[in-house]
Amino acid sequence: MNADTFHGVPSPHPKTIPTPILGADRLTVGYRNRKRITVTLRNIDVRIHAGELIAMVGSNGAGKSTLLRSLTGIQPPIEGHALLFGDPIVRVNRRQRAQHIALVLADRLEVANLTVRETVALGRHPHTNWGGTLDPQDETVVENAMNATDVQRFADRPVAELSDGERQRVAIARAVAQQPDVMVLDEPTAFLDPRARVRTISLLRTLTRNGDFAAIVASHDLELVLPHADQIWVVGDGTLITGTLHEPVVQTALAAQLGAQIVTIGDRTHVIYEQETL
Amino acid sequence: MSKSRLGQPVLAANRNANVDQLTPPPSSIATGPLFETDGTPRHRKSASQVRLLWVALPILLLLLVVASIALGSVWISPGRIVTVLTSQSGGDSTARTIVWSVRLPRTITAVAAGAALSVSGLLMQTLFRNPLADSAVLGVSAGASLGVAVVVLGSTSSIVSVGRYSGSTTVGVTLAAAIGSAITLTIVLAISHRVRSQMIVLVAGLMVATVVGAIVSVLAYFSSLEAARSFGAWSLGSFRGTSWDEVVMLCVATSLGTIAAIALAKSLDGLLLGERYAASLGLNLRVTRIAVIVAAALCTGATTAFCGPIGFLGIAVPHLARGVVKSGRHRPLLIATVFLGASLALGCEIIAQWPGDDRVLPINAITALVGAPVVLSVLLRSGKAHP
Repeated sequence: MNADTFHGVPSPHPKTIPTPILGADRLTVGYRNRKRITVTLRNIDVRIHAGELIAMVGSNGAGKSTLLRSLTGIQPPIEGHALLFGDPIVRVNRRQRAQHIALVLADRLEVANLTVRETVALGRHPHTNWGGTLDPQDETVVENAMNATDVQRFADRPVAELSDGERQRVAIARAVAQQPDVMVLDEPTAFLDPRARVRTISLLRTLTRNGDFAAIVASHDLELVLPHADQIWVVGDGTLITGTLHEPVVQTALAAQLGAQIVTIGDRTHVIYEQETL
Repeated sequence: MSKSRLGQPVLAANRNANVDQLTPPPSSIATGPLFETDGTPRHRKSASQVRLLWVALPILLLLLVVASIALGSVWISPGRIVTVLTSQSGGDSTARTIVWSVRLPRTITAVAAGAALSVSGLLMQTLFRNPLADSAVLGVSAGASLGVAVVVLGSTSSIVSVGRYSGSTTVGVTLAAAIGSAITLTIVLAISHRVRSQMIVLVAGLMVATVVGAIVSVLAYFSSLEAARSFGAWSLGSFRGTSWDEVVMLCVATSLGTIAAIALAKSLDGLLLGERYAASLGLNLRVTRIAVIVAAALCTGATTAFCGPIGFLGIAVPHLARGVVKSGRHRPLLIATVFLGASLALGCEIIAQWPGDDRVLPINAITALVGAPVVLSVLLRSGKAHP
């Protein structure tokens, strides 16, 4: 894949196949400790296009975070390439990477005594000069990001006064203000109550559909993320299975890795877990 | 591979192509207000108050500077101060001597030291993401003391006495103190990366300070009695008795540190989010960390070299600054910290030298009386926020 740009060979369908935002070309990820190499996942081939919501699921320690780190260029791959618009991401400099990829973490957002607006404005950092001054266009992007994530109501309040769910929306607003092409969310709902979980995933679905970025959501909330996802990535057994929810290969992987069965009743999709007796 | 692959035209083309192609399945999820076109920023209510602040802070500092020169065992009126400072030979010689050799160095020392300690406190609070960090708490002042001790107690101690450095030793002592600060700061930062608890980091800083203090005691034990005694007097802390050589050195080093800190304001803002988020914004963590350590070490090192360890200003002033600026952004915060730190240090120095009295109170007693309540209120507030 991506031979058109990476190896300098023109693509046979340059007009019909857009370059994916993010892609992996025979990517093998893992850790290098001095001489020892620990491989976590092998032979990954993925492509992410604008507007897509990708659900990444798998048990703890399966390698979700390692894959995210390699895909976003934080960790060099063992073999193969992670590609940003067709270019190996490890060769893209920090600032440019930050202009294309935004991050949302599970941790409760702690920002000393910044207000919501000031926190969201930090998302403009990769786009502003060394002094970090916002021009009117940056200010508009910040306001739009707050409107889109419904945090405008408490724009002038300190983040420290907000609930965990509200804080996570601020974290997403900050990532939206970064105007990324892909937003990477590492268990964004981990510490939220059920209602805030639903809101967060719904918000991401709406944002990806209306905005112009894709999102990769690593999550354990299968019943929330799976029905909304355009692509499902199941991490486990040293590899990655990709596809849509109704493909047998994905359903098999979900059952094998997480003991999860997909049941469709009417137009709603449900997740049923295997009962395991001790 | 050309860099332009990452440019905007490619992105725009991709976006338009993909948004049309993708038709996601319908869903019943609630939708909030989305990307409204009317995104004009609202005017901040307190804008005029903030502007007033940038006038009030310099005026406060100016008044305190005048008061500091005027007040003391002998009252010198502001008019006489102006005469003494502006003309070559005007004013009486007594006032001239008092102003030029006692009160002006003392005032400038307090201004530079107060500002620098407060700036380094703010830098450490951001670097450690800990509201209770400052140079005294983290053992950085102790590190600076060790640097000073090595130079002073290690050299021919009968010639050099602390607080009275000759021209050439001022540079050496400042460097030694800054290096001592930087080393302890690096050690405590390394510890803070191993443990996640903020409170354990503070205890670790205390331990580092104790170990360094012990090393200094051993050094003092093997040095001459005279050197040890003057070192003991220095370790009490004071803004007084600095020579003009020292004042110049102090001002140069602390200005460099403060200017570096202001230049780092954007990176410091990014660090508020935590290191992973900061890195995701394109920040080079290693370079930023080193730059912050150097700036903080210059401020703490130079101040400690000439004034001894001064407590509580570094921890208290950034919190006062946050209170008056009503923002967490570092550029306004640093500027307010400089003015408030200088003002508070001067205020403490004026109280220490109670007008009309010859006795001088130890400066650390005054800074503790002012600073400790601020620290307590921060503790109480953070206790409320995280039950």
